[in-house]
Amino acid sequence: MSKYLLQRIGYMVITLFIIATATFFLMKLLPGSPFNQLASKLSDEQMAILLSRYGLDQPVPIQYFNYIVGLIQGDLGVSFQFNNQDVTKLIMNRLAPSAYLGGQAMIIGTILGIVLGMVAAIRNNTWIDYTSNVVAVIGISIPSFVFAGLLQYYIAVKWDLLPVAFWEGFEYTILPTISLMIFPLAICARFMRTEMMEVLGSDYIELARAKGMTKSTIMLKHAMRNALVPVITVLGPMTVSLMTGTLVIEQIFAIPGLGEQFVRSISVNDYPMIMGTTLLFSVLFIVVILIVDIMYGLIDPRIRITGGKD
Amino acid sequence: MPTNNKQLPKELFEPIELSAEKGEELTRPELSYWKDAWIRLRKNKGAIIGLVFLFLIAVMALIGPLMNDYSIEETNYDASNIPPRIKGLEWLGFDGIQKWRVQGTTEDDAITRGLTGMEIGEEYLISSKVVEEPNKDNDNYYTVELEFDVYGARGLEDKYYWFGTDSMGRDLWTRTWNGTRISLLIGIVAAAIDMLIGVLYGGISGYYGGRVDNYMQRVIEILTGIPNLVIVILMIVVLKPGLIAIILALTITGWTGMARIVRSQILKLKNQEFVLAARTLGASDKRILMKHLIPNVTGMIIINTMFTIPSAIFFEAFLSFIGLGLQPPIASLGTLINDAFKSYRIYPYMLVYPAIIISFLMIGFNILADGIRDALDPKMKR
Repeated sequence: MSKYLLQRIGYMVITLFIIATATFFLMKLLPGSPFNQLASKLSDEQMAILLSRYGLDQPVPIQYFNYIVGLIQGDLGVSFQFNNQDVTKLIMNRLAPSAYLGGQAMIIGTILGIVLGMVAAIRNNTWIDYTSNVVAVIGISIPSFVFAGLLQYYIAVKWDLLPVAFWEGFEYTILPTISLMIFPLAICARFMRTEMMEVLGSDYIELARAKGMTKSTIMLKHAMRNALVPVITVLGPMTVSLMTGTLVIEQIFAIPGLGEQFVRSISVNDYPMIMGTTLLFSVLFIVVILIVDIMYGLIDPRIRITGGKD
Repeated sequence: MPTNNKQLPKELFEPIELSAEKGEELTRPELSYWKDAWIRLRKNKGAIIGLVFLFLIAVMALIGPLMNDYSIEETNYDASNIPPRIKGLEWLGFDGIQKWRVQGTTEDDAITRGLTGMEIGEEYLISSKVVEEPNKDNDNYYTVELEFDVYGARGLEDKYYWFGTDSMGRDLWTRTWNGTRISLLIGIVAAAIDMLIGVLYGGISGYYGGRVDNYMQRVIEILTGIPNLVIVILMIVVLKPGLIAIILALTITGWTGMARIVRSQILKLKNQEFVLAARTLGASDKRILMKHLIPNVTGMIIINTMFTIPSAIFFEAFLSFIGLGLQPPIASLGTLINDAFKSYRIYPYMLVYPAIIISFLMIGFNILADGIRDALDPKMKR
């Protein structure tokens, strides 16, 4: 187990290093410079001062070295668009709304999805099952920004039930949360239904029934527990969908979060900001995948993670 | 079937010839793997609905832009922001009537303001109604909803824009179906490239095994560790946004899923007798891989490709939405939705049609892919 863990963490570090390096050099390939708009107004001297201030006058290998050293110390450099502020600090400031929204969507979505999937499996081939199926297909298929747009138009603009945008209190989080949670809900419902169907057909459920246990004990104690284990694996795709979601949902609802800032820094060539956010997303994703793999092995002893997986 | 057996006279029965061959004879029509799969797919209502959606959308994407005389680039500023109108379908809401909310100190004041603001003659006003009486929250203004005939007011009585026009007066019907065509193209091309790379990579990795496999798998492991959202965005930032850049960005990590599936299947198959037989007969590695192993994995390849197409379409739309997509005048469903977002509160029709089409496209692909998976590989049913 510890050997496996070490190996996985090793891969994690290599992956992160590759991402950091690739990001750095890709940014260097970019045609524009952050001072493009100023170029005509500034004299060469002023331009040189600006460049040296941000370390952009040094040769690329030295810039790269400085960047990696900074990274190890948790320093992501200074942002070009917001005068001289640390990227790390800027990201931290923006993290709260995104994390709040993502967490809320993930928790509510997962719980509703699991309940829906379970009910659908127990009431197999009834209208509940069909409804759950339709919800799952729609949730997986419709892009979150399309869904968010339609929600915003009908609920906020047309019927005036909830605020259209901005970030000023709980009722402002409802629409963005619903738009973000539709995918976790759908994928959980679908997964849970399949797993539950499989578990319900197994011998130990039959045995429990033969022993005369009540239906609720069988469902909650025997079936649900076992069906829940594989659902952990959807955490990976879920994280990705939440990250993708925050980029667009925050734009639509004008939420001062990480995604909104990221999209803006792309349009103004703020390299350190793009690199910093990219790295943060990558770390988040890699850590989630690692946690999923470890938890999977811990919860279900039948799965041994030490062996090769094919 | 009748339950009470009829008493049949003995003469009607005759003994059949007994022989060893007869026992082996197939009495049912022979079914190939594909015929069998098709029969299973046909029984799946969802998959057929998906197939119908996709068929209709694909047909419209091909012939839609040809159905009227507008082109995707043709701008007409006299006809900007015009709501949809279709001859004969006025009763369905395709009536070319624009709703507009204005505020004023009295009801008449609001109406006058609205008409002068929109530069519309009074004769084109169809109706007006007060939606909000003066109260504290709106600074004692009347809010009035006006309905007026835009086509008449702009002197376009004889024109019909089926999905309306955008802010530059381009016909949205043409742009929407043309955009659908481009979205489909991106999805299919990206999926095809993913398939090609994935099958080759996975095939080689699985077939040769050993050290080759080991190294190739480490590469995949690292690539899949990187969220593809990040890669796609970085690639688009670096490359000049456009059709080719998007396809390249989508395929750069997209193939790893396919490679993994193909590899694990090949690992399972390569030690079976038919491969040994082929090798004994002197077949080269390339021949064994291409003629014996890959065809046996076709089902899995098709299933995986079917799921890649909608995800590529989604990613393209997503990139367009955050402003990294196609550049005008070309439009995809994503760029149309993005453009519509700027003013959809007043002109919701700009958002609604592309949004509906992309939703049906994605639903169609997803349920068809589910159906195909169940049909080709009943064991994998989820």
